Amino acid sequence: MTARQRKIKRVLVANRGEIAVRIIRACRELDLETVAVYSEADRRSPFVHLADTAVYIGPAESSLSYLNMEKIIEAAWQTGADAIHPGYGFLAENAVFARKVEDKGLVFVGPTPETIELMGHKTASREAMRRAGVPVVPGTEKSVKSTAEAREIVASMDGYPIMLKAAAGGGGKGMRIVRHDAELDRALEAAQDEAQKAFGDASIYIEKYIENPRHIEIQILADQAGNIVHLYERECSIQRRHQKLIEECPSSVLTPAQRSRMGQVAIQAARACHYRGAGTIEFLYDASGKFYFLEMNTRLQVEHTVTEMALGMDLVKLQLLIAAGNPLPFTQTDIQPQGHAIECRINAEDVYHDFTPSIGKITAFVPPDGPGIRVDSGITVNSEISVHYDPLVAKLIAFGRDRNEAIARMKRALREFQIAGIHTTIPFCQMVMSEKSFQKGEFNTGFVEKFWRDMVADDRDKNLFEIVAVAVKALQSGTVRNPGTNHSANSRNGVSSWKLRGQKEALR
Amino acid sequence: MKLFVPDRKKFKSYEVNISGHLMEIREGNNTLRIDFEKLSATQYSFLINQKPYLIETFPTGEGIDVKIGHRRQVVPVLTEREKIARELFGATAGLAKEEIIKAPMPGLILKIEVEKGQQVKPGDPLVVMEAMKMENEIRAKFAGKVQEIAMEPNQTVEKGAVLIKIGKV
Repeated sequence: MTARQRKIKRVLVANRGEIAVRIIRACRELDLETVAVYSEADRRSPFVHLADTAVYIGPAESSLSYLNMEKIIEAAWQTGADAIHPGYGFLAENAVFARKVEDKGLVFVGPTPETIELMGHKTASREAMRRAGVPVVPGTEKSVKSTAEAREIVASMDGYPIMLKAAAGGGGKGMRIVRHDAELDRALEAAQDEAQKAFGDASIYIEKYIENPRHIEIQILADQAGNIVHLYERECSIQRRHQKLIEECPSSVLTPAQRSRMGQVAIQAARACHYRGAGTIEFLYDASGKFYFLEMNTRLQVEHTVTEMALGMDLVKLQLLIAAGNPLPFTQTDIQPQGHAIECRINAEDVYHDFTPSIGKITAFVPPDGPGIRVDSGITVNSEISVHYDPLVAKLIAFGRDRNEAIARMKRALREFQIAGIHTTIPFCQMVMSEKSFQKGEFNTGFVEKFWRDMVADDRDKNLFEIVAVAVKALQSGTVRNPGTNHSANSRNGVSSWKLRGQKEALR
Repeated sequence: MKLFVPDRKKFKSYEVNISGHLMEIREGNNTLRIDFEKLSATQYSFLINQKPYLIETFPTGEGIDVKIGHRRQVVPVLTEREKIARELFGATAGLAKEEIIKAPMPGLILKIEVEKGQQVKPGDPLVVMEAMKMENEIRAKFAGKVQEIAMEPNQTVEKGAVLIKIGKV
């Protein structure tokens, strides 16, 4: 591959929310001008105020705005932008969009359309990875047509459990675990049905199901001259329904030898698909320490922040430098973790009611700060959390010299974080940070399933909640019946003799 | 004012007096003082025995939905009038014989998992809705028989829209 110098002066950010803010920050530090595109629902969002230019692209529904390729490219053209950064989600892994951008003579900040296309197709990418010597989960490369064919395949890989997956899929759709032969017929039909509806493609392939693996991914960075480095791993095993909730760098389970082996394999994978820019190879890591290629994300990840904090790097700036044709400014041996970083995703979800979306107006927003704390957010007071977009409102990242310090800082920062008006995943994150098995680093993707019910059922401080609820009801009822009664009411420091049970518990 | 919290078959009775920024709560021989500040329409700062608590409240049908720090519980608290009503008509007063399943958020109906006349038990999936790019399963809270299905797949619904009615067993 040859590096092509491309002049980038003005970058259009084809995204919204916290990631739009994140990209604008990197551009500003590199002295690049920024163009934001926004939907009707985002007119008041912080990323609009932070950009140099802001272009309205349509109504709240993302299909008419943030997914509207023509509108976005037109906005870039009209504002004189020379590059488009897609962020994550929306059009970030859309090969058609990447091609349209390049056809217009603009720089797409990401890999080539060919790479996106290849790695976006599950069976094609598995096949490419297998040929490149990357370990893949045993299974089929071709989609299965019939249950008879499926049975043959299952027999050839030591039987159940297996996983049915949509070839065009992602995000847990069209996925089915099958543990017994009797379930196969119905499961295959259901998966095909779901895949057809979700992706317009009913192709299903079969994989060996790895029971409760850890999810460990390697960040890689490749310049246009073909230099590739890995930026260590991220452990993302705290997930619910395949949605990551807490990530960290480095993983507490990998030995140095495993780490370097996984890093080398990830570089092999990136080389095999002619990668350019920042990308992530996701692996499943089983109880015996074996790891298997899961998929490649050909974009910046939500959790890129933990890599940045642990390694002291700015991945978005590096993406932009690479897109402009510059060589990597370092080699593999220059890269060393400086400590440990953890990210908590603060989602607008009601964790006490099965993580249902929580919508509404933010009435208070006080993010934590202080030593070792970073907050990437895209909201402010009076921001409206709507159903139109994903529920991520902020990412809280804690950095420490070691994992223990990072956990202690995260606990401290979660306690400080004030978001009023909606429910968030903060109580979930607090409980995970306090859980012994998390602290010891002994967990896998089955963690949330295993612990969450007990966590929610926790009714410590029942007495305190009762007193507070009584006080709130009295205040809401509003009538002050006995103004100025005895009881030394003027002393602000009146200490009561009534000892509350559970008072010592840190509640915030 | 007097307030009551259901405690098994009886009620715990609280006497609350508010004076300026101080509130005194008495229950039996126990007295507790709270120094309070209203921070916004839904937020308070309480000092109880010099220990600060940040309180947030949420509107809810029954009881007081309250967050202390980030943890949350719903506590039923009744005024004198509400308590009398409950004593007269029992705890189930006003509770319908059917469970009405409403949309917990605005969104798109993806799938209806039940049919009219079908028996369901607690935890059975009823409807799959999409909101915020995620699928959410709405489940039955009680056992019963599906009496009415009030929407169709691919329909967009507002928060609070009636989805399904279940007759209780």
